Parts: sequence; structure tokens; C-alpha cells
Amino acid sequence: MKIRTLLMLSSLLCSVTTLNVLAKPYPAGTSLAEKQEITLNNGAEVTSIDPAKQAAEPAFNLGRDLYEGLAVQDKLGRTIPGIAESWSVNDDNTVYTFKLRHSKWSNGDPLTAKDFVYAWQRLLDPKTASPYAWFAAIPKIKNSAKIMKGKADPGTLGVRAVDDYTFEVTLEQSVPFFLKLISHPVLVPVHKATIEKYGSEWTQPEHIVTNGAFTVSEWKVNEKLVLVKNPNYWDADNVVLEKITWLPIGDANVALNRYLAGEIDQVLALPSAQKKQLLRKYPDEIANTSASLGSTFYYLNTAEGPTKDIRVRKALSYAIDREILTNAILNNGGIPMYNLVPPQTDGYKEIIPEFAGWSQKQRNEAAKKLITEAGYGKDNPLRLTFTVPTFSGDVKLATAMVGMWKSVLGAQVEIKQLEPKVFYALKEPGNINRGGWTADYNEASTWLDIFISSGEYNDSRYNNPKYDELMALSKVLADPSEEYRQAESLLINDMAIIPVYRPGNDKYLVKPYIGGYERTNPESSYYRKNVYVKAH
Amino acid sequence: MLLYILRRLLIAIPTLLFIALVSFWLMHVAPGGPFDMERPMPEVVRANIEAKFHLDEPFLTQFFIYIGDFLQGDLGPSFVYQDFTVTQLVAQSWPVSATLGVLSFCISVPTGMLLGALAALNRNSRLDYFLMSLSMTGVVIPAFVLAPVMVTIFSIQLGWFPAGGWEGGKPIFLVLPVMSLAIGSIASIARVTRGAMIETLNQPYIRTARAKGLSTGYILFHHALRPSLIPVVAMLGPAFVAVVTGSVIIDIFFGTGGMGQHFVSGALNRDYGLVMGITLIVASLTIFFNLVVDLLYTIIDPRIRI
Repeated sequence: MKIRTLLMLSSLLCSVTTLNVLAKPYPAGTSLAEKQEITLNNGAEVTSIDPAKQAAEPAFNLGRDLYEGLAVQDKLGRTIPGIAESWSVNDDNTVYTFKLRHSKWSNGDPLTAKDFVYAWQRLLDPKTASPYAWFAAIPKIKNSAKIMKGKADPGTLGVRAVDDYTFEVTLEQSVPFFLKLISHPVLVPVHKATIEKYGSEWTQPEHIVTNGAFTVSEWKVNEKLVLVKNPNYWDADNVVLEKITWLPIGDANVALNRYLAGEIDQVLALPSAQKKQLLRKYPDEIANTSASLGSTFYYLNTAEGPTKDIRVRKALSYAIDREILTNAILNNGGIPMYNLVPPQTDGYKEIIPEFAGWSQKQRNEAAKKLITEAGYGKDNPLRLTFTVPTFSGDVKLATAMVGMWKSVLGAQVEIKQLEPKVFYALKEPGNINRGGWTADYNEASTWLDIFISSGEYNDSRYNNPKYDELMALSKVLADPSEEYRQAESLLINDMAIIPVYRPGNDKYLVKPYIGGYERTNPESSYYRKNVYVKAH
Repeated sequence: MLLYILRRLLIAIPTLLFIALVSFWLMHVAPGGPFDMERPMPEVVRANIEAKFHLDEPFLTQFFIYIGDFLQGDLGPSFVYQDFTVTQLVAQSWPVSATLGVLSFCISVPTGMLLGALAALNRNSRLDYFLMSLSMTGVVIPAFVLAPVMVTIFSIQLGWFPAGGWEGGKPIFLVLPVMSLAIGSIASIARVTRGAMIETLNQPYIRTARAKGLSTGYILFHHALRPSLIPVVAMLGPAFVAVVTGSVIIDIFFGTGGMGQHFVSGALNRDYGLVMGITLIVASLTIFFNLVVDLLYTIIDPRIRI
């Protein structure tokens, strides 16, 4: 097999960023505090710190510090070498070869390619029952889908340890964004001997073995989880922090109190009622966080009910004043959204639908016209149900939207609030249903794959053969960006969803002595190995 | 007496089984399960997970598997905090709740009874009005209002006590949560004590004692105290169980990691294992302390026979 170096760009990136990784995380001349300890809020208790059992951000957030996979991300979200020092791919982009650096587990054992083989097989093994197993099936690693369904042995997965420091991955077909996936926290290596010895308790502080910049020293559920520096981490010389205490505080007001009492060093979500006043009162502690790849939209049922009519769907979408929703109701830095794929998505040029350029007055007029054409009016008002979970933000937003529909369209929309678990389990989504997504990887297909007709998350039941065709085509092209744009245009023209808002740049409070915590990564992938405490 | 205790303990077994069955059933009929998440899992993955936790078995089979494990002292795995067993979670959180509960109990019972007795002895005086309006205020201000106010004053403004955390139960971390728990109970204990005491003080035998020229203190401690204790003790049994099994408000507000939060988040997360474990612990404690209260009656009032 003729191996050629991967796209010039990524090899260039490797050499540039390897230097970057090896440097100290603080600027020369910084005077560091003696005690390198910080306390942060993770927003919720994590369900697990076993990479194969993680399923949501609070856990991934810890995972990035505890384990290191083949690659990590830099502050701008680009893939940079992690445990793999370099990689290459064969001519038809189906076999990737990763050269691993000589590194150790926190207990001193050498980390080899076999650890990656074990971890990836374990992730897909039905016996592990990983809620994120599907992530390894996205890049179509050979046999991944069959193994997940229990139709093939985990040993047949397309991964191989060529030697101790060469890890090879075989895909079923070329997947252009494969390298963007490998920094994800579920694709990290795990320590086989520890897992086999302790079973589901292997992640407890007295047993856990990690390979990242930190390891666990204490975990009291709902109180705190303490990480300490892992002296065996390959880049430990450049890790400044000695200890991170993570608190699982879910309530914004409680987190703020702890911050004001000097007990945590950063508060990301400021209670909206006090936000302005806080930012005025603590000007030296304001920091910026850049927009992450997320979006809030509402599914419109395109298969049945009044929303089957495209005129009704368009009218509902036009009649929403997104400026009011984001500025007056949410006040969290969110920005109005008129499409689906975030503009900062890697290699993607945003599509801007026509109605995005209209004034709200124009939109309202168009909406009124459409709803009349669809046969609704004073004598025959549009009646719909709108299903939302009972989170206060969702309920506030829904109430405002229903008000707008009533005043512009004369529609009578009934809000059905459901307790979160009941909402998630809902099989019949009704007419309008709260949706939303965060990117699994920085590429447009993470968004657009939702709406293929067989998509498991396609709650709009959107079924457009042309869309499916484009998305299928995109899978085999080296540069599918044009197909993505066409697909997204179809989706928005058909108004299968109501796009409402996406996260924007926002301000938060952080103690001025914390350095290296620039929140610029579009996937919010942060690594505390870059953080340090200045003398204060 | 011994026979009575034995009989009560034996009745407890079917009671507990019944409670277990009903809670198990209620949890399973509640819509939404532990693995329904914001982003639904692919069907295959979901099937794998449900098989692992026996959720694919018929209801009664699941129940008997659970009871079988329970009888062997195994509370099973937590469905949500998958790195821990329910026994481990309870072992971590219960000492926190028990410490807070016992301390607040030790403060609120004597203080509440003392204030109640003082108010009763000085019935309809200014002191009585003052104490009772104070206690009414204590009863009506819930812990979720009291706790933030105390944090604002004592942690943020004065910096005397930490705003939250547990740190293995260091005394300074206990002050605010214990006070938040105790103030409400002091108030209600004072009110009940006052009522009971006034009723006792109106009894003819107290009048006789006064007529004999006995001192107020003597009457209070030798004649009035014991009969006034009955309603107080009746209230304290369940109150004690409630307070030592944790308060969700205190746990969430002070980030103590106590058992109260597990109970509520367990229910919201549909963590069947955790909710069952805690329900059975609370039920067992309630049954046990009701028995203790019944036995205490016979000591306080020898006329009560069991």
C-alpha cells in the first residue's frame, strides 16, 4: 500500500502546533502564584468519568483533562497532535496510520497502540452499553455498525496495533471529516488491566488510571470532584496547575454566591436579572466567551396536521421576532438565527435565506398573507399544540412565541409543558416541538444528517428525496461543501424547522489571576493543562 | 414488651415489601426512563443499555431481581451515576445528612422546648407575644429563602462562614446549613410545646400543686413537663427521620452532597436504583422511629400500656 502524507495543511498544522504544545502555557515573565489550585463549576454532576459511559458535556469537560486521545484541539478548534505525534493516510483515504509518542499511564505503565485498540473495541461492544457508541460508527470505521448491533465480534473492528507505537484505523469508505472526530473525549485510550480488575468501579479515585494531564484524587458525588496533576503525563513539565476542584452547581444564583464569596474562580452563566449590574460592578473580572457550535430550533411536523402545509410553516417562522426573543427574553448573548449550520463551522460558507434580510414588519406581512392563503382567519383560527420541556428558559421562550403567533397570525397555540424526562421520551411530537443541537464535530454534516428521512432525530419527519440524495452524495465527495449548502437551502426553503437562535459571544466573570483560559474554542473543548494562576 | 417489639418488627417486613412494590411500580409507570435523554440514543444502543439494567424484563421479574439483591444487602447499581453502586452513594451522602440532621435536632429540640415553655408560663404577656411572633416568622420563612439571606450576610458581606461545601464536615462548613435547618424546627417545636404546656398547666392537679405552695420551677419540672412532652415527642419521631435523611434545599443550596439531593434528582433522572434504595432506607427509619416513639410514650406516661 502506498502511503502518502495527509493533506499538506494538516501536516503543516502538526509541525506548527507541536511546537505550540511543548511550550509553557504562560507568557515569559509571568509571575506565578505559589499555590497552583483553582476551583471551577461544571454546571452539573457528571454521570460517569469512564470515557465509554460519558454522554454529555459536564463529563466530556472532565474527560479532556483526564485522558488524551490521538489528537486534541487548539484554542481555535483545530485538530492538533495528542498521543499521536503524526498521522498519514493511504491513497483512497480509507486507512489512517497514527504514530504514537512514547507516553505513560498515570500508574507508570507504558501506553501503547494496544490500549487504543482495546478502548475503541470496548466503546462499541454491546456489553459495555455505551450511550455514545454511535460516535465511533459515524466515521464508518470498518464493522463499527455491525458490532454496535451485536452482529459482529468487537475483535473485527477496523483498528489494529501495527506495533506498540503504530495504530491503524480502516474505514469502510472515505469520510472527509474523520480527523475532526479523533479529538472527541470518547475516543481516548483506557487502561485495560484496571478495568478488568475493578469492573464498573474502576473510575473511583482509589482505582482510576488515566493518561491525561490530570488524575482524580477525590470524588464526593454532588459535592466535589478533585483532579490533581498527573506527574506521568507526557507533557507534565508544561502543566502548571497542581489541583482543580470541580463543583457540580446547577443553580446560577448559587454559583454566583459561591463566586462572590471567593469560593469558585469562574462563573460562566450569570443570572440574567443581575447580569448588567454584575458586569458594571466587577469590570476587572469580565472575560469573553466566543460562540459555541450550537443552535436552538423548533421542529415543525411536516408529515401531518396543519404544519404539513408549507404556507403554515413559513408563516409560523416569519411571525417570530427573533430580536425580541434573544435581546429581551433570553439576554444570554444568543443571536437570531435564520438557518441551521453555524457560520463558524469549519470550511462552510453560511447560507442566508431571503427572509433573513427582511425587516420584522415585512416578515409579519408575509406571514399574514401566507396564513390567509392557507385558509385560516378570524372565523377559523389556526390551532396547534407546542411541546416544550419545563426548563424555565424554554417555557419563557415558548410563551413569548405563542404571544407573537397570536398577535400576528391570530393563531391559538397551546403550550404543552412536559417534565424533561417525559419530554425526551415523547414518541408523538405534536405540531411544534422544541429542538436544538450541539455539534458533535466541527463539520456541517453533524447538523444536516439530522434531517435525512431516516434520521433518528428527525422530529420534523422531513422527507425530501432530493435532500437525502444530496446528503448521500456528500458522503463520497472529497469536498462536499456545495452539496451541504444545497441541502441546507432545501431544508430552510421547506421550513422544516423554525430556526430561532444560536449561542453568541458572551461575557462572564473570572478572577483576574486566572490565566490561559481563553474561551475561544467553537466546540467548547477546553483543556486545563493550559491554565495557570498568576501571583496575586 | 419484648414480644411487642418483636411483633412490630415482624409487621415491618410486609410493610416494607409493600412500600417497595408500590414505589417500584410508581417509578415504572411514570413516563420517561433513566435513559431518555436530550439526544435520544440509537435504538440498538438503547436496547444494549436496557438489557444491562434488566429493563427489558417483565415488571415483576425486575422487582424480584431487585428484592433478591436487596435481601443480600445489595442496593444495586445507580442508573445515572454509573461509576457507583447505590450503597456507595448512600454511604457517601448519608453521613452528611445525618450529621446536619442530628446537629440541627440537638439545637432545635432544647431551644424550641425552652422557648415554648417560657411562652406558656408567661402566657399572653409581651414575652409570649414576642416569642410567638418570632416563631411564626420562623415557621413561615422557608429554608430556600433563609439560606440565601444567611449566605449573603454571613458569607458574602461578613466573610465569616463559607457559602457552601462540606470538606469532610469541618465545623465552619456546618454552621450555615445547620442554622438553616434548625431555625424552622425551633419555631415549630416552640409552638407545639407552648400549646401542650398551656393545656397541662390548666389541669386540676397543677392547680392543686400550686395550692400546696410549690414553686413554679418545681411544678414545671416535676408535674407539667412529662405530660406536655407527649405531643412534642409524637411530632419529633417523624421530624427526626425527615431531618437525618437530608434536605434537598440545604444540599442544593450549600452543595453539601447530602442524601436529600439524591432523592429529588434521583426521581427527576428516573434513577430507579437510587430512588428505590433511598425510599427503603427512609421507610425503614420511619418504621423504626415510630416504634421508638411508641416506646417513649410508655416511659413518659406510665398510664400508656402497650
